[in-house]
Amino acid sequence: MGAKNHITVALAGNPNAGKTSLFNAITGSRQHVGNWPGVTVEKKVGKYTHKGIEIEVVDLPGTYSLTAYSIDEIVARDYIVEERPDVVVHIVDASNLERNLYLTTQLMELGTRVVIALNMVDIAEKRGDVIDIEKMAGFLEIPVVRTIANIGYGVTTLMDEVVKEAQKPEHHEHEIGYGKEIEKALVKLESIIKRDTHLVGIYPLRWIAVKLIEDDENIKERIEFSPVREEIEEFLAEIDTIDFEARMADKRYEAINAVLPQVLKKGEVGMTTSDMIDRVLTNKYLGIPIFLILMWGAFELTFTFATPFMDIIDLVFGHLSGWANENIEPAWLGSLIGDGIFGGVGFVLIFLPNIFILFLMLSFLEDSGYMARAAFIMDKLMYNLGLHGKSFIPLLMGFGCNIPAIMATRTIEDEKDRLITILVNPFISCGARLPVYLLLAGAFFGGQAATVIFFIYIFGIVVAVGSAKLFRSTILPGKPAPFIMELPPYRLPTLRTTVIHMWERGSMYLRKAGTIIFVFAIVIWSLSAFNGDGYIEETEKDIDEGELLVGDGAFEGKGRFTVLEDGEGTFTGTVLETVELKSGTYEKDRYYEGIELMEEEELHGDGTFEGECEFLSDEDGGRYIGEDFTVEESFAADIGHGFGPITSPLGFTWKMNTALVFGFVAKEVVVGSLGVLYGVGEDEDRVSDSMEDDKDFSPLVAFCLMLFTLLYLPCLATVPVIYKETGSVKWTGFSVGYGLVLAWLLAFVVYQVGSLMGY
Amino acid sequence: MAPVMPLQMAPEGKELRVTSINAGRGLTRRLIEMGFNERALVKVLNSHGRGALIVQLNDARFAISRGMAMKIMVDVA
Amino acid sequence: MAEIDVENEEKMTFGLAAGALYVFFGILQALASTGLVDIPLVPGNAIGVLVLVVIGAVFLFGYRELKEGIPEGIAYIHVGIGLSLVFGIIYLLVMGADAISAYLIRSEDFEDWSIIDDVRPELYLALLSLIGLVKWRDEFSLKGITISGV
Ligand SMILES: Nc1nc2c(ncn2[C@@H]2O[C@H](COP(=O)(O)OP(=O)(O)OP(=O)(O)O)[C@@H](O)[C@H]2O)c(=O)[nH]1
Ligand SMILES: [Mg+2]
Repeated sequence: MGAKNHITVALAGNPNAGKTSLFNAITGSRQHVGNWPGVTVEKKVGKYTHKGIEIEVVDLPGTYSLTAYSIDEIVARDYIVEERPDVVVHIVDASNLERNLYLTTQLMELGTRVVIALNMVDIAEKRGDVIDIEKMAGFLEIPVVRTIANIGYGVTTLMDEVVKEAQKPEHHEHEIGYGKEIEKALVKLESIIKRDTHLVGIYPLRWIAVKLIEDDENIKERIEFSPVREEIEEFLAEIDTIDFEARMADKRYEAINAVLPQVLKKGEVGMTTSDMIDRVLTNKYLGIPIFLILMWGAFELTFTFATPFMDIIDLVFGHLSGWANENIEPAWLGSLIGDGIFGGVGFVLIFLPNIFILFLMLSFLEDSGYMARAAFIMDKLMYNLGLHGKSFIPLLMGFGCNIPAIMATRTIEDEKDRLITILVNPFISCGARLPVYLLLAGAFFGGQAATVIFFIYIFGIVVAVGSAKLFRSTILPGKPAPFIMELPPYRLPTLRTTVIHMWERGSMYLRKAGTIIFVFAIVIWSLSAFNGDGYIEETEKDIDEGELLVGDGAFEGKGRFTVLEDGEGTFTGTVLETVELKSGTYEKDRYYEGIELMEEEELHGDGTFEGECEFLSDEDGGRYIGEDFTVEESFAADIGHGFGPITSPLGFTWKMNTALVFGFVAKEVVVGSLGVLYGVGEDEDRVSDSMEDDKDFSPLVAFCLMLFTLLYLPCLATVPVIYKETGSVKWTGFSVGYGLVLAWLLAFVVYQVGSLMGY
Repeated sequence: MAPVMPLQMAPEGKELRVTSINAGRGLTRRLIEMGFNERALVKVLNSHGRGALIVQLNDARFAISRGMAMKIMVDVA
Repeated sequence: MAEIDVENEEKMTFGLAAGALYVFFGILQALASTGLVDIPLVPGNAIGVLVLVVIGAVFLFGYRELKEGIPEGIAYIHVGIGLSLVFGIIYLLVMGADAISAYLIRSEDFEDWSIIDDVRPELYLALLSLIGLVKWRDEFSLKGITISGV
């Protein structure tokens, strides 16, 4: 047999054993690592060249055995069993040998070439365990290499062994004896299976026989069309497979326990630091309160601590935008750069400090090991609300981004539990929504902003669990399935790893700002700067009945003139309603020449007006010559007005509608759009100030807008993930529709009640 | 012989031995694969009354929901 | 063994003192949060009340267990010290950020800000835990908690 120069290597092992850490160390990639079981839920492929041999390395989700119960385990099982990599590197957690070796026995039976990476030896050795790897390799007849995956220790030696092993033929000699009676049955089964020449080519005979006794679903499917199926079934009916299976498992543990004492000298055991911490953090009475105050602490940092850094970025972009508008010629280009790019993209970048702190907190949560505890602490509450214990981790992850969060539901075995967790996940407020709250709460709630935002987050959680309860009592009835989940030991994350994790996700936000948000800022700017007549600038046009225009120039016609804040102008013509102004009283139906109007003064008249004002034409309409400030006539306005009938009961204006429409792409776009729409043609340096000036934009409306943004739609990137994970158009549609309806209803109630109460 | 009881009812902090698993075939297999085979020694570290438990099994710690803990039978070792 | 007992005794006293102080300030802050009374150095903040009371409760749990002769009770004292320091650091950072807003950016919202506005119980009570940390620093070497990464 010639030397292979291209081999595939799968990394398999128990959850949280360090597979992905090892994958990253080998291939130099940056796949997600975290201190809890179930981080990896998909297979990931990387390349690596070792001594001229090309190696395709495949990282797999963690699994306890080759029988799969959940989707992530199916991925692992199928790859190892069906795709047959040349070598399986079995990552064994040295600090928990016995249980880890159970999977080894299964791999041995399958007859694949296995190399054991004895990982986390640092932990085992620190607590005084001594592991004799020579002996271990001897007993198991498998090469064993010590590794510390997170620092890359042992990788080269490991790959040497892998390459060496890949050149050997597959061997099935090291197998476990199950005792006379079972062995006899196995031999009989093998002799039957042997006659199906097709099957024999795919799997080792003995393995098929064992799996048949274990009632393995996949193998049963495999023999569905086998010519010997009936014979096999007859034989299986004769023996007590349940008892056989139990005895086989027993024998495997027996084999492990025969080897273990000779290989492993255990150091001191007793209460570990992890257990000590757990006594407190998972205490019956203190667990939930401690969890809550830690969340609050994280929140204080994310919000309050970041404020000055936000302000600094805000000021910088404000100045840049102002500068571009004034100095770049032609005017449209100045507006594109100033309002579109600096206004839209810059506006999203303002929130970078918050996003980074948020992700820092989440990294810490994941790497410390507290994440899995949180699931434990919340289990009872979750259960009562109809959510599975394992649902809590995906929900927590949702605070970062709903996409990995929805993928993380793959570890939930029960389909219904999983579906509910997917459906409620979008209500958990992701990082992309945070800028919307920061913008709106910052502009309208001043000192109360932090509390308002905290409330919005809580509200999202309440909607999520409330919906779960609702689904449980209507469309998806039943109780959450019982669960068991391994708790990782607490680890103190280092600054380096935490910062790397933070950067990994935070830079996604940056990249989004540079790509999708950049593009949409330009799109929205274009829509707001153009209408059917072209670029909106110095114009001459007729204004029809009831139309509103904001501009600087001369108006002729009948209508209502409201001078803008900071503006002024003069009116010549007939006053149609008596008004009292600072400069005097003007009588109805009298002709005046050159009435001076000051800021925010209003007049209803028939004639010409010159200056900066908002002009609402009367029945006859009028004519305008000058510079539009307004985006009121743009395509963007048309889009926004189109949704007016739907959103006016919520108090939303067309600008908000437009922002929400484009916010479907990514929730940050809501912020970017508001930035553009409130920036175009305004002189304020800071967009939040011009928002405050909009008289339709009250704190109540701002609050409703936050609520609506929280709930209304999963973002464009999340929808296909929901589809992929549920595998159903119906549920994807339901998810989108449910969110929209709920968002509308809740915003409606809040706005109407709030208005009645006079807010 | 010490009385057999579900893990859910076992006292905190005592060394316990798994005697059997009262569950369907799949779940039983899963628990065994995770280390809850017959004769395995476990210890309840934290029992939340009617909520979930934290159980130590060798060097691993498991969070086990009440429903699951009712299916694992143990006696005091 | 005698030595350990003396140490646990100290921790017991510490737990009682820190627990009582945190709960006491929690109550003060609750009063301040109603808006009816103005207590210097205790700004009203409803969620802050929860923080103080929970940390106080952790210390008191430790006190109770140690008093009952359960040596594992020190876990509560240690975690209490940890939580108290975490919140101390958080509010120190917040204070620093506010100072930047007030003096560097000269933000309108911070015109009348003075450092006293940000002095709150979480901050000065953490000093107590700092003493505990220094005193028992060897036990905080996080023995058994392994350091991940390099
Ligand atoms: N001390 C120590 N920590 C390690 C070692 N290898 C991995 N870790 C840590 O163990 C945790 C789990 O690592 P992962 O690589 O995510 O484990 P995994 O096997 O991919 O986990 P799943 O994808 O959830 O199955 C992380 O916190 C790592 O930093 C090691 O050799 N020593
Ligand atoms: Mg992984």
